[in-house]
Amino acid sequence: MGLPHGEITQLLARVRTGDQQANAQLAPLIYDELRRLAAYYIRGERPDHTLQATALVHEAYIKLVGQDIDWQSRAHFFAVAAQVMRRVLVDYARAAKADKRAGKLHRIPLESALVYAEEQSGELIALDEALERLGQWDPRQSRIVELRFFAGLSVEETAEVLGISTRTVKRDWSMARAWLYSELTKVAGNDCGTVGAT
Amino acid sequence: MTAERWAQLKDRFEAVLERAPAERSGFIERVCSGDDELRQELLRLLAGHEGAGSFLEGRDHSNDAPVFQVNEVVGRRFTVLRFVGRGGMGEVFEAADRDLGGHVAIKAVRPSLASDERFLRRLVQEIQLARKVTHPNVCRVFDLERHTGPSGEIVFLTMEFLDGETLSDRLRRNGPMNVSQALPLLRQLTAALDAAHAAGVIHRDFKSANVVLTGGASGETRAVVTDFGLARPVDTNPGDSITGTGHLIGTLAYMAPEQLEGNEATPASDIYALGVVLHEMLTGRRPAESPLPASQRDAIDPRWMQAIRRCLERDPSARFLSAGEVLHEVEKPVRLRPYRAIRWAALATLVLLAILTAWFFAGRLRSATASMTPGSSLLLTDVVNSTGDADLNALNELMRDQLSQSAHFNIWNRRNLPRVLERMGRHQGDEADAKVIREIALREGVPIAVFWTVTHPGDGYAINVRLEKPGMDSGRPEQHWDFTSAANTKSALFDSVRDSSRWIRLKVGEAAPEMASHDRAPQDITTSSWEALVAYMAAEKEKAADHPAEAIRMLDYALRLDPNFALAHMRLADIYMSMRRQEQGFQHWRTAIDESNRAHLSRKESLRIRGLYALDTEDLVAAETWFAAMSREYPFDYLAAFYLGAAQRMQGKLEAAIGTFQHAASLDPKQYYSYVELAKSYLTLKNLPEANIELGRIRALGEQTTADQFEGVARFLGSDAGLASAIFGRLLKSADPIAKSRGYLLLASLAAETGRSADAIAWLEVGLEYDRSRGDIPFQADKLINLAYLHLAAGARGKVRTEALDAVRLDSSPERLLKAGTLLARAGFLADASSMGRMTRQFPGVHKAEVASLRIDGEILAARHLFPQALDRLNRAAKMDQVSGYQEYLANAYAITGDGERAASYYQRIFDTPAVPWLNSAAEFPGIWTASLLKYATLERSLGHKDLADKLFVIYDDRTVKRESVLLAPSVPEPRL
Repeated sequence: MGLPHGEITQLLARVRTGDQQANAQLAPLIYDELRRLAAYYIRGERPDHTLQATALVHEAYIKLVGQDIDWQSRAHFFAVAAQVMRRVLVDYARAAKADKRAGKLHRIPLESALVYAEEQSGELIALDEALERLGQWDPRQSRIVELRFFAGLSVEETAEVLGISTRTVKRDWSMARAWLYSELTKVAGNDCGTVGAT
Repeated sequence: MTAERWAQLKDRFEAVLERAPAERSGFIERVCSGDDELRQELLRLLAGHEGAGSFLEGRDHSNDAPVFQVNEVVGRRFTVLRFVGRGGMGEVFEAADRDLGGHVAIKAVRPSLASDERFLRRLVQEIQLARKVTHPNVCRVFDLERHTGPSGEIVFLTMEFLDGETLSDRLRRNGPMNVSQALPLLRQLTAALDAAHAAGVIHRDFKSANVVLTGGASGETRAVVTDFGLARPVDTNPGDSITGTGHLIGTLAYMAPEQLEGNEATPASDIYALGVVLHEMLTGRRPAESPLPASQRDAIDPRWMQAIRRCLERDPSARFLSAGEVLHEVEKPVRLRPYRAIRWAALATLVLLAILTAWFFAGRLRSATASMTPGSSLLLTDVVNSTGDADLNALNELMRDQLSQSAHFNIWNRRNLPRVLERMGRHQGDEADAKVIREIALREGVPIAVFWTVTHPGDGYAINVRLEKPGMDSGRPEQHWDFTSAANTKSALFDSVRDSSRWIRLKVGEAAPEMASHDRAPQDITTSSWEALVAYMAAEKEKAADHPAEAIRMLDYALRLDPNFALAHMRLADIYMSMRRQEQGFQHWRTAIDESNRAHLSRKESLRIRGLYALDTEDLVAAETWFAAMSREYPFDYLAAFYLGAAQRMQGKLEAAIGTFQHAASLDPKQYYSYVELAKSYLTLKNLPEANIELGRIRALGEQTTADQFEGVARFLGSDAGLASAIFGRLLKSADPIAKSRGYLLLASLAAETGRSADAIAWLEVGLEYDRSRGDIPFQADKLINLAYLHLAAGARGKVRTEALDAVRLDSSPERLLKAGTLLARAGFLADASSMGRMTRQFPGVHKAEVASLRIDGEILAARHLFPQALDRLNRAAKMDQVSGYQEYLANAYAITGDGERAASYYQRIFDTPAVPWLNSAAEFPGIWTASLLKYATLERSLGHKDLADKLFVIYDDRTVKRESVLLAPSVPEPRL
């Protein structure tokens, strides 16, 4: 049977009252849905529906919540979904890499930066790892990247979810992006003076 | 890098960004004088900032300017008039055709797609296809053109411009349509689909968003089907196709099951999608979204519902052959097909299956622990015993009992195995090797499988446990964890089992304190005697092989070896109860409960048997308490929730019961019993639409005969006795002897409830012969008692006595004694009735036997015209009786004593709940509702309530009018069907 409608809504409401258990139950539900949708689209090979994280998260939202809820709950949903989406994409990237090594190649047509792409699997994994490191120094910046990149939230929405000003989001975003970009584009053996090299 | 260092860097970098771009590097040099490291880091960040471009944010096109400007002339022929919107493929414009005049729609293909050769080839095919279909209700596609503008070459498509909104938008704006609004649209949609199918084109992505509604020439709405973009010819060689076979295309919610499973789409797949769109038109939502409120569903013309159902049949060949047939169906003057529940559950299962399969190939979450979400299932395999000592196979029982104490997880139910193997295309007998087990775990969503062995190295023993997390590759686990526990002696293996179980429980994430409260030792929850354990296992085997007598012998032996072996008492109780030897059954049951008081059973088992004892003795308040406690302690246990619901439903707490059963169904959606109970609850509430939904779920799980039994009841309650009879008649053809035997019983009840008691008697006699030929004792007793009742009504006293006494000889359970005692007393055989009463007192401490004893006494006293005493007994019985059934005995007694008002009020309650005798046939007599209706009507007339009485007589006449469509009982003892 499908997911009982309203279950997510209820969990979100419980999260608002500070129920930690509800929080723990939320992620697996969202995860399942995102994974289903992602798996579907990856197999689907649709020209007009490439796996776009933003679209996926919103589709999951419609499927799981499907009704009007208060903005705090909505924000919380996206906060969790962003993390989950990151996991889903990185999992796929790893799987794709493994498939490639095993000689299995099923190319998927791509259009823009954030579609699931085997060619990008290395990049996605590197991004995940860099984000992991960034999170150790500045958890907020790492969360902002997650929300903006993996859940496709706008600056305003991100500010709403995190309860901070849009100005702060913009500043953090600029720095995190600059650092991630330099991390991901640095050429091995040519990265003298790197930041965060361990 | 540290957090402090990062914070410092952040501070500086923000200052850098506040400068004008040209000043930034100079600023860095100034502020970092002396700190070369900081300078390097800032310069690197700045380089990153400048080089990042659209890095991480390049995906949002919604604010981009459209590729064409208004008034721009594209392809040297079309003047862009306005930007219409953005679709998946690209942007859409309205343009004027300068060569031919008129307006066209232009679809500009997104550059990223246009540069994809394969995509373009597909697009060309789309156009070729769409051109094959010329129909006023199909959007015309003209050409693929190229335009070279300032930003490079843009590929675009020209098509008929449709000025209107999509059906999907219309429904969102105006809400659902009524049938007269929907019919003209349906006519056009079916015409469009049939035209496409005739041209060999399948739409494959038919949905409300692909239907545009525009104003027609004479003011009526014209519906146009667009976007044959994913369609391809019916007869293409799969190897040639661009999309390839096995790919899922189309939008999930509209997709037919076969498409979801990756099979070839056929015209029937479009019919399926049409069904979804029709449902959407009439209700505003898609079938799978959420259940429809009963009121809304009832408001819809049944012919339309029927048509939708047929479109949505799982089997493509069961759907309409053409779209035109759908139209024909809804315009038909009368409904010809039986009302059938929609199999939403089947749909949901299918979607899930497709998703699981997809997921199976796509990979899954990897995490570093074996920790499971609370409520997940653990797959426990059989122990691999390499010791040569067959006794040690009993370790399976020990480990299972040990692990099932956990409230954190469930043990995956082995009864699901045949179903899963079948789905995997394997045979039941196939060896379930590790690879198969991993695949089962993956398919069933079981996160952890336990493999284990017992070995006998040298003098000692060892239990080796391996926990596996199945991964994408069934050849090997994604991760595994190992544990070994050594035992010096055979009896020390008990401790090894406990150690292993504790290790497993902690490993899968159970909290230590939580575990400690539910962790009795194997010796305490089973037995410390290997020999007794081996006998117990042997009994289980005999029971499974349907040798109850042998099983009883083995269990008796086990109990001689260890009289405190509570589990063995419980098994004995189970076996006796299933043989309808309730006296022994209840006795062993009570012993088991006593032993559990001395901690000879796990907490969970102890709660379960107390609850079950209370439930079976109809001490429902106690049953509710025990199972509520069990549900609290074991929130993920299906049976705890299920039995809690049963205790509630039997007490008539229907709303609570429905909630509980829904919860049980969410814990284990594959158990059809929850849906049976839900169906019963809804039938009692006379909520037929909801009951039908549940019946659909039962059918989706393959339980057709079970569903038939209740569907027949639903039809009868819906005043369609003919249909009910046809459905019950199906049971007689069932291969399952129990269903067949029940079929006779139900047909007899139906005949009795429709006033045909001769037919009812004939059905029971034929059924009785059938049961005798099979040696089925309990079913014979049921039929004999029912015959006795019908013969009492017909005045055949002699037969009443023989049949009632025969029934009790076959089965002397309290409920049977009660019915026999009641009939014997009413027929005037008071001595026989008294002996029935005495027999009920052989069940000390059995609640329902106490109620039965009082009631039989009351019936005897009433027969002796000792009315005050009779009423005293019967009222005491009614007070004790927690089962919400008919209190016909009070109605009858008050009627006899001349208290018409009271009698009428009891009859009225019976009248209000016609479903009761069908749902608890063990407690009620056949035809009791209709017989009570007649008495009720007569009473009301004698009380001077003429209007009410007339109304009741009309209902009675209506119910008892003979209908030709009703399956008539055979006159010879061989069913004629």
